[in-house]
Amino acid sequence: MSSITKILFVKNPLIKRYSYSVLRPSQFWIYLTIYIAVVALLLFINYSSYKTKTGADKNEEFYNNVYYQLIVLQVITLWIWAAINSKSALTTELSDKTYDFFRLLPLSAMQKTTGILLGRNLLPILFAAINVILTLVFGFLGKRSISLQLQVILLLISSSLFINTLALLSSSTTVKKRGKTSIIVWILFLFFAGPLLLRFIFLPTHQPFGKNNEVEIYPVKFYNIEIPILLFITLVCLYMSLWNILGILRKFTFETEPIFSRKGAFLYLLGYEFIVIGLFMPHLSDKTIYPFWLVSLIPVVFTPVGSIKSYDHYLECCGLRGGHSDTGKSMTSILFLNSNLTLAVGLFFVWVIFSVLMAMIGKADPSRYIFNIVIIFSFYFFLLLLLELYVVYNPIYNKIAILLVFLTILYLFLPLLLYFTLDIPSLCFYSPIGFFAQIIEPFEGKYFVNYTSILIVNAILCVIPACLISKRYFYILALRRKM
Amino acid sequence: MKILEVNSIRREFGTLVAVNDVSLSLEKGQVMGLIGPNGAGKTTLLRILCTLLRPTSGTAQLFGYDLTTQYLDIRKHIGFLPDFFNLYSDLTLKECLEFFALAYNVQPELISKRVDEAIEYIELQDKRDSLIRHLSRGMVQRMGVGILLVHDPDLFLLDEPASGLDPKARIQLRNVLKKLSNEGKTIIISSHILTELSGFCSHIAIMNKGRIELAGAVDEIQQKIMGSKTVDISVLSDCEKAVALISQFPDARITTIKDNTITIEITKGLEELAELNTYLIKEGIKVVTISEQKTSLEDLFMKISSSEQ
Repeated sequence: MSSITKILFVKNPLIKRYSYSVLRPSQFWIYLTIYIAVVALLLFINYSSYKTKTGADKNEEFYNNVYYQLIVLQVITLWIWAAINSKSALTTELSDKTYDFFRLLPLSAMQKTTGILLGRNLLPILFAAINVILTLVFGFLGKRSISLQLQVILLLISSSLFINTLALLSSSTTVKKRGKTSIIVWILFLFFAGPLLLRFIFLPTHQPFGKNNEVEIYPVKFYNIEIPILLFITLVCLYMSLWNILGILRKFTFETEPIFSRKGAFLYLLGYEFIVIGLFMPHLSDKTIYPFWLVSLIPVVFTPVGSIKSYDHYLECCGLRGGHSDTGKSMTSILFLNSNLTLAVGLFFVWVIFSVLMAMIGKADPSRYIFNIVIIFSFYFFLLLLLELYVVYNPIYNKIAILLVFLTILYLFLPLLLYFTLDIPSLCFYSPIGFFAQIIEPFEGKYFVNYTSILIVNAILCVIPACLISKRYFYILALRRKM
Repeated sequence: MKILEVNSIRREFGTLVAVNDVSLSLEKGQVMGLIGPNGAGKTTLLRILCTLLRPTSGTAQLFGYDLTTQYLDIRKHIGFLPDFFNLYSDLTLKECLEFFALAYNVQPELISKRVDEAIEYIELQDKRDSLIRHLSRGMVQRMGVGILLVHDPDLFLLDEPASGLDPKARIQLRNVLKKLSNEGKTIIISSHILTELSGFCSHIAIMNKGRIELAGAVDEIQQKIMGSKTVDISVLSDCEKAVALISQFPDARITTIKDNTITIEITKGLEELAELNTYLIKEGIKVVTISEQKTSLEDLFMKISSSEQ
């Protein structure tokens, strides 16, 4: 047994556990037969069409077609089959009632993570490894350059790591819950990585890739560095995977805690801003400032959901730390510091720093962008209050989420609907969507945007949720004192 | 040697205080029965002790390790059997035991031996290569003990181990647990079915509404709660004379007389009982047996419950 095999199988018993099951001959041969049949079918279909073709480059075309199709097969194996396995690992433990044993295994969170990702995916990894060899062979025969092939392999590995860690993270957040935090994981995925990965899927049909291997050097300007696009996507995937893994480790260590700690939420935001600024910086002008704002605001909206503290957390933290008189903090200030609102406002403040800096570098009009920030904050704060309403009222009204989602949809779309039906364009600015559309691409014609009225409307809207939340906060404090 | 030391543990779930200010300690070799009605907090306490739940406040040390910070070290020393569990249905018994042996860092050369011993202990030799999904509920429950045995934990934490079992499977499991207790293993076993615990618990802790109402050695608690021992004295003949003699003895009170057996309650210790025996023999009574009636856990629990009310 080689030392690597020893480390994988002996040092990580979970891999051994899964190997018993997935490599059992009675089921292994079924997967093997399917895999061989798929590859054989793929070759057969391509060979059939090759035979009917004429021309000097028909060999090259045959090899290239097989090459692309093998990549698609690889994508199906690693992005779909493996991701389903990763996603179902913990839910299977739960449904099989083995989850307590799993949690109690004296293995580190990292061992559990690698154990699931590698062990549960032994078959996809095995077939993907065979596929890599076939892909390389057909790539060489189709005259793909080594550099391109290496970049594609690296991208496949990093993107697969990203998708599988994301799948595991989403299942670790749904354990013993109703799947609500899992949704946010997939929303984050759609916003952050979806476009990158989709771009990769469509790359093979992209002209430069098909003809002159240009994609291997097709550059992305990141700050002042030019990075080949495939390599850049690989690096972003690795960065995102790192956060996924940190989230999984956190969930395996503190199961009831949110994905992000408070510090983690800020670090995540900073890392994200670093990437987005890097991408926008080379093209910065007063026209790209607001698209930058929009993209950089995404984590400010979603990270608070990933680090959301529950009503129970509030009760617990007030009791725990309130009990220690040496901290010198009152229970009220502890609740305030631990509130989801405080974190979200803090994240917004960080975003303000970056957006103002970028606006200054891009030489945008200060009076305009400062007002815009204030308006955006008023939209953001109202949405935050709705989120906090959910947190503090969910224990009493377990269907409150439905009402709040309805209100959110109303808030986002009603002004737009009114604009279309009543044909009063200024109404659409009362929706965050309409407002952003306006600042990114100012409407033609002279529509008067009354910033003050937007602020007043948002302030009025905030009053009732703020009162309701304060009432619950006082209730928590009173309850805690009684307990 | 102290294995467990719990100080003022508290666990809250929102407004519910499931475990409230619990303090407990356990020495090596003791078998503690955690008894109490449903919802008393037994499962929560066990889940805290096995590191599945973090206490809201309070401290605890197991084997000298802190419960909240050194939980990975603690997990190597404990074996926890939850109330509702299953095992990896896609594995055979042998594979499952091997996996747990590996996970608990049993030396590779010992694994095969440990697996064989565990299978023998739970008497499932003929199912060794069967998939777990093909086992009956009772067998899975015994297999649960098997996976604990394979890594030979220093402390067994068993939460309602016989729940959902038929009488036969219950007896088989009870035999396995008795075997463990006779071998000097340290065990905490929770149950609300007291007959499950009778006979092999050296200590009990009675829980109610998240608190431990009473804890200690069974004999001590029995003495403390019942206040007297119930003793059966069988005589060969002269039953009336024996009754008259016993009536003169200050610390004894006759409760029933049936055939030639007189049941008495004696408030003092064994020395007084020996004195009574000598006295009866001196007076010419032919004493056949003197035996103490062991108070069942049910009696004890009922007595405590009624005194609380």
